[in-house]
Amino acid sequence: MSPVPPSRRFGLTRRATVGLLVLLVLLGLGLVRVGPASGVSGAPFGLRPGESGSVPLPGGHFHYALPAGSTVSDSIVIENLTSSPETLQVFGADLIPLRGGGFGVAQLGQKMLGVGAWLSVQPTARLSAFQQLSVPFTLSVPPDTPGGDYAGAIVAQNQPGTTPGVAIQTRVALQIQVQVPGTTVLAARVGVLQAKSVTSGIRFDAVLTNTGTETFRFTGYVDLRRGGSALVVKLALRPGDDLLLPGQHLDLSGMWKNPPRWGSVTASAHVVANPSQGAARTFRDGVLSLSFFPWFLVLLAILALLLLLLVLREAWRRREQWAERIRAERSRRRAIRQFKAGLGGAPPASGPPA
Amino acid sequence: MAMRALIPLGLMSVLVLAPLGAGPASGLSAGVLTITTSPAGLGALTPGSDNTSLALGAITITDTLADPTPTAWVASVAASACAPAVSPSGQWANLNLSNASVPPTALTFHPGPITTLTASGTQEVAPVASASFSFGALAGTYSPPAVIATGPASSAQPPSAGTLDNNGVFSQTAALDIDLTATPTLGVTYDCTLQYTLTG
Repeated sequence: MSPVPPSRRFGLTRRATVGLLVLLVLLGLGLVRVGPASGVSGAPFGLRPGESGSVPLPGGHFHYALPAGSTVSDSIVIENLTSSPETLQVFGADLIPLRGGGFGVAQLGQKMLGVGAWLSVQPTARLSAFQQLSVPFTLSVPPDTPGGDYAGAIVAQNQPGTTPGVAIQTRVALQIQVQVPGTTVLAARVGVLQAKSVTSGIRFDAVLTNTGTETFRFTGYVDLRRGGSALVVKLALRPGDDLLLPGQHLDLSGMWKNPPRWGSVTASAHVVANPSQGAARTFRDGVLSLSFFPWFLVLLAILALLLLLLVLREAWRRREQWAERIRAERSRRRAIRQFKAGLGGAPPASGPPA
Repeated sequence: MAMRALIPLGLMSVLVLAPLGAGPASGLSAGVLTITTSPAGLGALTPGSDNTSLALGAITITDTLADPTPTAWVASVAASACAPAVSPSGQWANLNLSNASVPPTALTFHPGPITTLTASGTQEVAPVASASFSFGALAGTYSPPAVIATGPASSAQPPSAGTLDNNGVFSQTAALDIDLTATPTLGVTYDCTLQYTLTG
C-alpha cells in the first residue's frame, strides 16, 4: 500500500490544487469576474440613488421641497452589470403619462419643458466592467416657478444593440419629485366624454387633464342614469388610482358590457382628485345622452313578418288553386253524371223500323 | 512545502487585489433598478402577409432598491420603424427602398403573462400584463411608449403600511407581430429597434 501524497489528504490532486491556486490568483487580479455586485445577471446596467441604503429617503428616491430659484445637488450610481465596458448617455427628462397608466420618460434630444429642463448632468458615463460610478447632478428651480408639484427623472440609456433582427435599447429612469412652496391649486378637466358601440358593449373614453399646480391621485367613473335620476351603472374608468402631475393629461376608458336593448340613459364622467394634503375634489364632464334601439332585432322581426306574409300568401294561393281544382273536379263529375243520366233515363227518340 | 506557501499567497491576492468598485458605492447593500431582454432575431419575414407571434424572448425587471417608501415602477416599450437590413445591389442597386420601411403602426406587441421570479417581503406587487397593442405613429426616433408591466406599489401610499413592497425580480415573455400586408416589401431582412424603459 503506497502512502497517500500530501496533496491528496484533502481529496485534491496536485493538478487540481495548482488549478485552484491559479484561479484564486486570477480572481485577485480581477482577470476573472464572478459577476456584478448587485447579483443581477444579464442586464446591461442598473441605477440607484446615490444615497440609497445609507440615508432614509421619504417619498421616493428623490423628493425635494425647494423654493423657486434654488438649487440642489445630488447623485445617482450607475452600475455596469456586464463584463465589458459600457458607455451610457445620461440626461434629465420630463415624465410623460403612458397609455395604460403610469409614467415613462421623454426621449433624449426632445425639448424638455419641466423638471427635465431643470436638471444638469454630465451627458456621458463611461464604465469599465462591473464598475459602479457615482454621477452627480444638480437641479435648479427657475426663479419664476409658481408653487406646486413637479416631477421628472434622471435617465441612463445605452446604444441600441447591433444584433440583426430586433435590436434592443435599454433605459432606466429614477423619478425626481419637486415641491415648490407657495399657493397651490387643485384643478382638473375631464372630457369630452365619448361613447362608441363595440362588439362587447359600449366603450366610453375621456381625457383627464391636471389643470392645477398640485399632483393628485385620481379615481374616475362614468355615471349612467335613466330618466336623469335612477342610477343604472357606476362604471369604473381605467387607469385608476394613479397619479397625475400638473399639466399632464391621460386617456381614460371604460367598458359597459351589458347595455339595455331599449330605452335611453344619460352618461357623465366624474373624477375624484385626491391631493397629498387637503380635501379631495370631484370634477365632472357634461351630460351625454345615449339611446338604445335594437335595430338588428327590429329588422329581424320585420324580415320574419315579411317571410310569414309570404308564406301565408303562398298558402292562400295554393288553397285557392286547390279549391279551384276541387271545383273543377266537381263540375266535371257533375257533367259526367248528367251525361250518364241522359244516356240511361231517356231512350233515343227514333221508333222501330217500319 | 512550496505548495503550502502558495495557498496563503493566492488568498492574499484575492484580498489585496480585489477590483475596486466591486461593492456598492455607499459601502452598503443598496440594490439596483434595471431591465433586460434576451436577444431575439426576427427570422425570415413573409412579404405581403401578417407575420405573427415572433418570439422576443424574456424581459426581466429587477427592483431591489431599498426605498423606505417603495416607488411604483413602470416598464414600457417603444418601437422604431423597421428598415431593410441590407442595401440593394446588382440589378437592384438603383431600387429605392425608402418606402419599404415598416412603420411602428404595423407592429403589434404582445406583452404576455408576467411571473415573479423572486420577491422580498410580503408582495403587494401584482404586475399585470396589458393586452396586446399596436404601436402609435412614430414621433421622432421612437413611437410613443406603451406600458407592458407595472409594479403598483406607489410612493403615494403611506409608508406605515409596513408590508408595502414592490421589490423583486419579474419576468415576462413577449412576442411581436409585423404586418407587411400594407407595406411594399421585398424579400429582404429587416432590422427593428425596441426601446425598453423602466421608470421607478
